[in-house]
Amino acid sequence: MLGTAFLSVLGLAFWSLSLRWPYPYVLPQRWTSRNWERHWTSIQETSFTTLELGVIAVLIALILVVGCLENEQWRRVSFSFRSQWLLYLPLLIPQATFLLGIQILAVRLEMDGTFLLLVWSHLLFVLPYIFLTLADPWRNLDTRFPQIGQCLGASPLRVLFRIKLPLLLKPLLVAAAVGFAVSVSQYLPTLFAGGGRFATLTTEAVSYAAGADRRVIGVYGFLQALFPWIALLLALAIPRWRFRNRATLL
Amino acid sequence: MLKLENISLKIDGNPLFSKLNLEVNAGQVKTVMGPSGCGKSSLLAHLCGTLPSVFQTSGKIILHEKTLDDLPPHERKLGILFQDDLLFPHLSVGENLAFALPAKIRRHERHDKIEQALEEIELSGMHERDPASLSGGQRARVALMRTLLAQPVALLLDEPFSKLDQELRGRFRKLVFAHAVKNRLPTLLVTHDHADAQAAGGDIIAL
Repeated sequence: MLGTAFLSVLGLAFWSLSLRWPYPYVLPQRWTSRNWERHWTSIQETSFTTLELGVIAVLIALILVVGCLENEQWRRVSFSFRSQWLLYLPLLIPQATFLLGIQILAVRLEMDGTFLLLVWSHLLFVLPYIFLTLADPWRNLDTRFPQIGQCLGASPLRVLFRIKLPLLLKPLLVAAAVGFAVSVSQYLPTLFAGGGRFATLTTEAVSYAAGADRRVIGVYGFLQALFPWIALLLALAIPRWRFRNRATLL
Repeated sequence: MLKLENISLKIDGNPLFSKLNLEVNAGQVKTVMGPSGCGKSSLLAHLCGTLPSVFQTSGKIILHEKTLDDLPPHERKLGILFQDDLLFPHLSVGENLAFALPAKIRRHERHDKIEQALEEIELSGMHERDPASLSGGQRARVALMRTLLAQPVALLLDEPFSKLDQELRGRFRKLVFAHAVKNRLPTLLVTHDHADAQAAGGDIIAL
């Protein structure tokens, strides 16, 4: 599976660098950087929009999810089955109809085509994935660590920032990477909520996919795959670096 | 003085023990004994305010004339030691100690205090070390020192000696009780081990 995915991304990278790549050759016959140069301005702009959107949506989602999970433990309540359904609803019902409803709401509120709505629409899909990824590690953290922190005189907020969040650094970053990947991959929400005004790597890749130029598809397709990959790599590398001298956390 | 008045504990409506009355004076050690599952660890968790909500409790906890029952755990000023040392695995030895220092102590003084504390437990120069790289005995001493640096007004011991080997155990016991006496802390030990109870020297209450 992973190998196929890797090969297809490699294929995209080759296409983006090829001038001529006729059948049945394994590699392009002539290489060029022209495909990248010609689209460079647009690449930069769409990459930035993708990054900005993903980072903001992930940060908001992380704050909400951590708040939720912390509240659950602090007030000693557990999530009701019904509220979990609500959280996962955006993943379960067909996007096209669901987004149409949101669109109607947004038009009524005169918010359609704004960046705020765009972030919100991504959040609808990022949030459940982050919740799904983070909930179990959060609930499984040895409760004796926060408890002893409190007994040592640390307020709940200090326990959160000095004990829980650092101990959960890896799951937090992995959840963030998953959320970021979800945001990067959103096509319909970006198109609907953004009113076509915001171009991301995915919307560009899809719109070029309709055309015939495989070299340009290669450029955007490759970047679209690269972004989440880098995010995941960082999520795995940062805790390893941070805890390089901490045997129990490696 | 630590005073427990009519403490009762129930789990899901089933009583674990009821009407426990106890007084521990400054510098004195009292031991609560009982088999595992009798609620002795839960008693200490109740004193700390960290008991899960499946338990129902009644009675009063009084520390130096002040009722603790309505205080959140971090304002109760109770030091507790567990079976496991529970050093924070993401912090260095020195950072573990620094975590316990009250915020009002200034930066310069903090540094000195930690160096002093390390020296006192024969771990000078170990500030940057990973707690996982220390021996069991060393870790136990860091845990004790961390608890004391938080400047508690009473000490709770939840079988803190049971995981150490025989030789270490005797020495660590002595160290803990010596500090309890030196700091004039009312100390409550819970254990199922007779040797520990004997070594504590004070009254033994069976649960």
